[in-house]
Amino acid sequence: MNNPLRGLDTAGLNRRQILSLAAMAAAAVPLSACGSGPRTRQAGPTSSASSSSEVINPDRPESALFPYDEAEKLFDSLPWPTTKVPEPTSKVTVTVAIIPGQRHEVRHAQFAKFFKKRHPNIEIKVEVTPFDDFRTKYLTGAASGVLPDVMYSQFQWGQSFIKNNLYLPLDDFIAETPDFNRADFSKAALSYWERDGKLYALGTDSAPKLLFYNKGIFEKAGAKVPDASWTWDKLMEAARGLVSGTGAQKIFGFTPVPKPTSDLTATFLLAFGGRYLTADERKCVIEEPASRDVLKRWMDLLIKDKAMPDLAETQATAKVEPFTLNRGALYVGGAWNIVTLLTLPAEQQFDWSLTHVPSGPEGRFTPVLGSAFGITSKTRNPEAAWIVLNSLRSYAGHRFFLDTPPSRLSAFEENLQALKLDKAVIDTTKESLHKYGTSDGVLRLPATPKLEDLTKPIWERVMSGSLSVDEGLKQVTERVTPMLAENV
Amino acid sequence: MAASPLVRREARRFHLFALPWTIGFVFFTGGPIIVSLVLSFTRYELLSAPEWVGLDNYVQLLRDPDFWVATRNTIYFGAASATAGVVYSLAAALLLNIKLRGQAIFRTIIYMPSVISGIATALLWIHVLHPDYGLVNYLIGLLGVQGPGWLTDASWAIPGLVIMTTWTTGNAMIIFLAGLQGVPVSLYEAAHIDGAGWWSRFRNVTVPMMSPVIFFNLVVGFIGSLQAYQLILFMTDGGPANSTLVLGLYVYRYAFKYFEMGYASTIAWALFFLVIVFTVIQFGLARRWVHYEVK
Repeated sequence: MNNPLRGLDTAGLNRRQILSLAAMAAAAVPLSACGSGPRTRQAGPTSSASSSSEVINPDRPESALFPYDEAEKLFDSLPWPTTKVPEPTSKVTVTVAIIPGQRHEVRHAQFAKFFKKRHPNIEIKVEVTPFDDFRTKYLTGAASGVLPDVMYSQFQWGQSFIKNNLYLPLDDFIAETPDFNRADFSKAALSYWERDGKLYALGTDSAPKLLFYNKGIFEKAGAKVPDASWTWDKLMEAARGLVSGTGAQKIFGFTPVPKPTSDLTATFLLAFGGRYLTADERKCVIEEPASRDVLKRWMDLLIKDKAMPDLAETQATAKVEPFTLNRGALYVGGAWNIVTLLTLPAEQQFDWSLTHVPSGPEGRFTPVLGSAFGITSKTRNPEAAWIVLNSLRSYAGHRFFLDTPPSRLSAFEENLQALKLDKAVIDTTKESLHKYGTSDGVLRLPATPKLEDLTKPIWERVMSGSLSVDEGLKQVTERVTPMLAENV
Repeated sequence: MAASPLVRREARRFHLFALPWTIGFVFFTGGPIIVSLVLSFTRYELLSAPEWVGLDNYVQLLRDPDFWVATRNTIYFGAASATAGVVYSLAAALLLNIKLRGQAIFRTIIYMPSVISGIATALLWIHVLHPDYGLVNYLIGLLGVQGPGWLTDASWAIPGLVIMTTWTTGNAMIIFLAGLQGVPVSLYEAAHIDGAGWWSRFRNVTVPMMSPVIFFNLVVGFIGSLQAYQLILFMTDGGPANSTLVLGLYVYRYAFKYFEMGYASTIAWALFFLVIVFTVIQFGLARRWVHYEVK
C-alpha cells in the first residue's frame, strides 16, 4: 500500500500523533499573522499619480513628460535659495523618502542630479515607498531608530508624526535663512505641520476642493451648468434630475457621498453651520440639528433618489471616482484632480470644467488639503537636510516639481498656467484657496485612522438604509466620544 | 551507563543540524510569541516605551463590541471555509483519482489556484463575484434567479469570501489525493464482491479509511481560516458594515494602522485561545468518527 504518511511511523509516532502534532504546530502560528499585506489604496491629495514602471537612468533621468535637457534648462534658470546654514565640508548623503508617481520619481532623480552641481558635497538618495505602506514603514522604522533624513507626510499624518517626535522643528533653520518667506505659504498649508508655535514641515501642494462638472451630461440633459451662484440646495435638486441609467451605464448625479471622514465638516457641514467635531477635536457634535438635518438630506438623495453611488455601485466602479469614468454629473473633489483629468488616456477624455463649491446659509467653505516634507529627528546631517529641504520646497522647487496647486503662493499662477488651464479655472482655484479655503474641520489628530474605521461600519448601515440617520449619528457619537480622549 | 562515542557523535551532529531551525524558532517564532504575551499586558504605541497596564487590555477587549463582532465573523468564516474546503477538495481528489487520459493536466488545473498570487486571486474574484457582471451571478441568472450582492451585501459577504477561499484549497486536495492512493484496493474489491455500489463503497470504505486525512485537513483548514486576513483586507477591508471584520484583520488594524501594539497583542492572544478551543473541540469530536489503522 502506498501511504504517503507511513514513512514517518518508523520514528515511533502513529498517524494520529503526527496529525495531532501538525495541527498543534499550525495552532502556534496565529501571532505571526501580522506581516505586511496588501491594502486598499487610500485617497490622498497626492495619491493620484500613477507609479512609473520605467527604470530611471541615474546618469540621465528623464521621461516623456520630463525630457532631460528641458529639465536641466529649467533647473538652471530658476532662482534657487541660499541659507547661512553651512555647507558640509565633506561628502554626505541625504536620504529623501517620497511616495511613487511618474512626476515624483523622475523629477526627484533629476533634482538630485542637478542639485549636486550647486552643492557638490551633498548626495541625494531618493527612497520610494507606496503611499499605502509609507506610514507603516517609517513608523516601524522610527521605532527601531532608523529614518531617512527628509520625509514626506500627508496632511492627516502630520500631527501624529510631530507628536511622536519624528520631525525636527524647522524654526532654527528658518532663522538662519534670511530669504525664507514664511508668508509665501498659505495659513492652511502650514497649519497641518504646526504645533505649539513651531513649524515642522514645508508643504508641497495646498489644494482646495472645487465643484467639477461633466459638460456632456449637462448638455444631454438640457440643463444649465453650475456657476458661482449655486447653493447646495440647487446642487441637490440638479443631482436628482441628472441621474439616469442603470448598472454599468448608470450616470450619478453627484459624488462623493458624505461620510464621517477627514473633511466632512469643511466640505459638507460648515456651510450649514454644522460640525462633526469641535475645533479642538475633543468633542463630537455631529448629532446637533445643523449637522443632522443636512446629513438627512444627503441620505435621502442617496437612498430615495438614488442620485449617488450606493455601496454596491461603489464596488461596481472598482472604487474609482465615477466622475473620472465619465459617469458623474457633479463632483466635489480636490484641485489635484485637475492633473488626473488632464492626463486621462485619450479614449477616456471627456468635456469637463469646474467652478466654486456651492454656498450654504452660513456661507461658502472648502477644505484645503495637501502634503509636505520635513527633516526627521533621526537625521545624521541636519544642516545638509535643511539645505536640501529649503531648495526642494522653495519657489524654485515648487516650479521645478510643478506642484498643483503649490503651497508656495508665489508659484501658484505659473504652475497652473504651465498646465495650459483656462484663466477662469485658474482664477476659481486661486479664489477658492484665498477667499474661503479652510483647514478648520479637517481631522488631523492622532486618533484619525481609528476614528474613521470605527464610524465606517455604522455609516455603511445608514447608507444601506438599515439604520436611520438619527440612530447612526447617535452611534457615531457614542463610539467616537471616548476615543477623543486620546487626542489630549 | 555512559553513551558510546558513536552515540555522542550522532547527538552532536543532530544538534548541529538542528541548530539553524532552533535559532530561527527562538528568534523568529518563540521569542516574538513570548514578547507579544508580555506586550498584551502593556500600553505600547511603538514610538514610546511600553507601559504596564496589567489586565486592562483584556478587560477592554471584553467590553469592545467590535471584538465580539470580529469573533463571531471569525468563527463563521473559519467553520464555513474549512468545511467547504474539505468537501470541495475531497470531491476534486475523488475525481482526479480516476485513471483517465490527461489526468495530470486536470490535476495541474485544479491545483493552479493555490499557487496564484493572493492579490491576483482577490482581483479576479472581485470581478467573478461582481453583482452586475460577475460570473457567479451570471450562472445563477441562467437558473432564473437574481444573484445577491456578493461582498457588498452584509448578509452575503462572508459566503462570497468562502467561495473564493474554497477555490484555492489545492494543497488539501493533494493531501486527499495522496490519502486516496493509500486506501487498500483489496477493501474496494471485497466491497464490490459484496455487491456494494459506488455510494456504499464511498461511505463504508473511502470515508472511514480517509477519516484521519479528512480530520487533518479539517483541523489545519480551520486553523488557517481562523487566521485569515490578507485577502479579506484587500477585498472588503472588513466591510460592508463590519460583516467581514475578522480577528486577524482586527489585529492588523491595531498593530499597523493604529500602532497600538499592546492591544493588538491582546487580540492576537484572544485569537490564539480561540484556535486552541476549537482545535481541542475538534480533537474531542474526532474520537467519534476518525478511524486509525494504528492504535
